[in-house]
Amino acid sequence: MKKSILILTALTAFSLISCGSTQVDRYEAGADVKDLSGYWNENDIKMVCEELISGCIASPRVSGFKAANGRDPVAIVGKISNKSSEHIDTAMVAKRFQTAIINSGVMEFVADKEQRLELREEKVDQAEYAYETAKSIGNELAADFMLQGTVLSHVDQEGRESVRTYQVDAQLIDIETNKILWQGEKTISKYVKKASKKL
Amino acid sequence: MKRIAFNGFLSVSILSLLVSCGSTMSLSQYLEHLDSGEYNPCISELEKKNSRESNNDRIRDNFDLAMIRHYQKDYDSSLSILNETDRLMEDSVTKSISKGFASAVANDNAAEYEASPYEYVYVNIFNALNYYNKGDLEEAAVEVRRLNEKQQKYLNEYGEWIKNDDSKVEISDTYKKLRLDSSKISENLPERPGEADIFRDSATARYLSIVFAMMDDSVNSSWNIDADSRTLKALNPAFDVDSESSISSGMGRLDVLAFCGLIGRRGERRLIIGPFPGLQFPTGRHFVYIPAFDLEFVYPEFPAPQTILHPQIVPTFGWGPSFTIYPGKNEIIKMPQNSVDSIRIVFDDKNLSQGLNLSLLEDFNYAVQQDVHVKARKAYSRSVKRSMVKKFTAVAGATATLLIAEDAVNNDENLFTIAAYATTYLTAAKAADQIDRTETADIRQVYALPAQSFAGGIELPQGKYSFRVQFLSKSGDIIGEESFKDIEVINGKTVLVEASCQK
Repeated sequence: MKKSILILTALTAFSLISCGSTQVDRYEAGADVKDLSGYWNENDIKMVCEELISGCIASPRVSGFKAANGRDPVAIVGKISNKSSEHIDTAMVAKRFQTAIINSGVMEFVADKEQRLELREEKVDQAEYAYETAKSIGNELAADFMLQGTVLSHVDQEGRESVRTYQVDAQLIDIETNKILWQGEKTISKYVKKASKKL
Repeated sequence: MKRIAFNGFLSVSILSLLVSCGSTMSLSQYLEHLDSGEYNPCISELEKKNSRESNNDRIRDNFDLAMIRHYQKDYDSSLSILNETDRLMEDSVTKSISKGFASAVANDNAAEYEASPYEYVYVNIFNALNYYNKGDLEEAAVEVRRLNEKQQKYLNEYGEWIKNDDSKVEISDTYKKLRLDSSKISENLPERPGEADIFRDSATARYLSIVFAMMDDSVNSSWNIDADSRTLKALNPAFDVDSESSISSGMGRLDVLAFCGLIGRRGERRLIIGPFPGLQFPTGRHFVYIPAFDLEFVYPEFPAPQTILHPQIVPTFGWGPSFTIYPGKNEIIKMPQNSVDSIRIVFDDKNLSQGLNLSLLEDFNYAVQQDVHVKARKAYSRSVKRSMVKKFTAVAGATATLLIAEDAVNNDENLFTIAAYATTYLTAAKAADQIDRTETADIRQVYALPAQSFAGGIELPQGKYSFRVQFLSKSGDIIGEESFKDIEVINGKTVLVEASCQK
């Protein structure tokens, strides 16, 4: 009987060890996260947004618009193209740009293309089913500027060592005239040394 | 009663542990399911294997699983698995580069599976198609860029390394140290890989790169279409790149990329050389005679040998080993049958009755053949080294056992100790002779890749088109067919559809 208990205990311990447990560490918003692989990550988005957007909102052409028109410019975030050799969620970059600009108070923002389509559908729906309180169609605010961007990457590798370089370009374009009002670029280079053996 | 209940509980615990570990099907069973298109048993087997942390073949199993998901048009699953596989491959290739490609060229079965160079490129081809079929051309283009990076950084270095490798020296050195005549072993050394054996690029990859750029100029800012066309012409001179990549004014293009069959498989070639004459092995006190023995080496061969051949014994005169060659004792790896001979497009629109025949773009079997040529010589050389180490470890072990038996005879010489000595002698000699039988060649590879790709396109006025892609046998019978409805062709652009038939 004792022997059986020992075997059972050993088996239970073995199965518990083999199952293991998942460790989770939470990061506060804005905190630096661990760079595990050297690929594009949260820290890079943060660095790019901080630097590019501070440049964008400080642009004299943007402040000149308010002086000339007596109101803040209205902007929209367009496409942030991924032209790198890595799958980068550029929608996340676009949203961060938008958040940073809205919070700066320098520009107004209107909903993006997808959101506008949904809002228009909602207004049509309201006109049919909530006529009294329906929001009117055709009162949308047109954007003055569009923010567009591109993510590029380059990898220089020699054996286990590599330098991954990411370049993010952003442009604020006047929708009426296609004039580029501001252009910024941020380059991030990461030196990555891969372990010779995985543990 | 209590005892029975406890024992029952114990049995269930043991059983559940065993079940959770899972028993796996044999390779031949797995391949049989794959060949007959019964994907569900394959998926469950691969998922079971991948759930084990210790799975050394994760890259291969992942790739197979992703390919099966791709054939099932489950592009989301396929791309998520291929993305993980690509990362694992990158880690493994990084290690391989830092070790001077030695591990990429000759793996041991027990070592972690490192993808072959062609698999390292094909992973991006099929992932590009996964993204494209999901309607995400931008991410499909990312895969082409990754592929181009690999081509520039990895494949070039790999090619240079292969050209400079000299495995013959290693063999001679090993035998010189052991004072054995190495001529028979060197004579059978597989040929040194030449320039033609180096996998440098894929015609399908270049084709995709061209077609994606024709769809959207903005995706190709970082690659050179003219260079792609030149490379494709060099890789497959029979494929008319110029006409397959042109769009006349006021027209659009419909292009079809079709895959058929399953990629060819490598098998094991086993070479027995012997007998080598017996050895007088020094023991310290006197010499122990180890009788004549064979040496047995293994290396991969393509296509996989399909029958067990009768041993071919080559007689020799005077001293010198006769040698025997026959395929390995491992299970025979069944080669897949690709019954597709040609592929054509048949339009539903009666005005397009001429249809379109696709041209052979790439034979993926050729990549396996190249890979095996590159690896065979190195694998043979390593097998020789391993064989010698094992053989002499066994001989040394046998000698020690013989000495103990001999001491027993010296201390008390009787019928039993003499018989024990004789038995030990025979067993030790046999063990030394048998030791090579444990050698197996590393014949691992991704099995679910297709055998061939065909491509072709037609210029059409803007509009929607419905058509069937027909896979035909040599006698013209339709083996498989895939229908496409209302595919939109836009002026000045090309649209690509992918079809496949693994029968």
